[in-house]
Amino acid sequence: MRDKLDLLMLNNDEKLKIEEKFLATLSLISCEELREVQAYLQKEGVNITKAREIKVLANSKDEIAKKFSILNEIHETDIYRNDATMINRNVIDIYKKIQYCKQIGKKYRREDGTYEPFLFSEKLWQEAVSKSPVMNIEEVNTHLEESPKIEGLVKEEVKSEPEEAIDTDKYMDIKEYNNQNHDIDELDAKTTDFATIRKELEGQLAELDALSNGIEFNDEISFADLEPESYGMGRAS
Amino acid sequence: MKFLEKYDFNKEEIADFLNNSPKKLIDAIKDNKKLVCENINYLKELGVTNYQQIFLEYYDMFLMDHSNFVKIFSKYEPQDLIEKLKKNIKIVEYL
Repeated sequence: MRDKLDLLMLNNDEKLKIEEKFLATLSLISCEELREVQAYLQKEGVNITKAREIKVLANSKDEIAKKFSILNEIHETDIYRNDATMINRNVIDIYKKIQYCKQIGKKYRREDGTYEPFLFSEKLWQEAVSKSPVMNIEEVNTHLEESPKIEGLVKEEVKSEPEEAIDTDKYMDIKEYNNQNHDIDELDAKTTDFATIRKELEGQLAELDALSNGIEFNDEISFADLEPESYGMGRAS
Repeated sequence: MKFLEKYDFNKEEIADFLNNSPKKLIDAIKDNKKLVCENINYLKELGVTNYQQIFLEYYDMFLMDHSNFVKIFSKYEPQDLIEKLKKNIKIVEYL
């Protein structure tokens, strides 16, 4: 644990806070993961300077990179540079809200470049949108459902967004299921299916071979052979 | 995460929490449900009115050993602590 703490570039006060209260995150990640994530964040200009921000390090480098690439599409990765804990937020949700603000001309950044909190809290967001002269909340929800189109990412993320009357336990089950290594028997069953299909196809090929036996195909067919007269048809005059 | 409902977290808050927290930490909380409940319960019984808000912001802290968790909050006069936490949960970091 000491090695991991030393890897964090924090002042002694913040390190002390981690030791006293936030050590759990560090126990969940290896030194290697920590180095990898930290190097990526530094490359992107994000510095973890507060003890409360270390929960960001519990994400994998790939997860973080995916989030950066989504916000990079709309040139809003500053959101993470302003506050590293935003990396833990649902990126699709933030993306949609920013896009919507842009469309209706609503301000979502302050003079100093920091972001308005309504982008992150559902309650504040709903309040902000209700006051919007352009659309009411139902229209906004429909609108957000339809946008945006991020290649290969939206579908998956949107699917995981909880609906209003969601059974949270069930939701977790599905999440767990997706993260589990599925039973090898399932794979065997699929393999068997392919083997059966292949067998059937091979059988049909053999039948076709048998049917074609005795029929001679001429490799060299001239244009004359293709003329209608050659197979007993007269030309139209 | 249904256990959070027992502590008056509403479905929306739970869904929001699941949606905005790293999977590794969510799993750790699920695996250490008993410990997390003990720590939430302590704050609740102490009279901290906004313990849900504290959990949603500092959930990683609730994975602390219960006796260490208690030590942090028991250093202060309860009523004063409750008032201060009500005004600003960020003081949790400095306790």
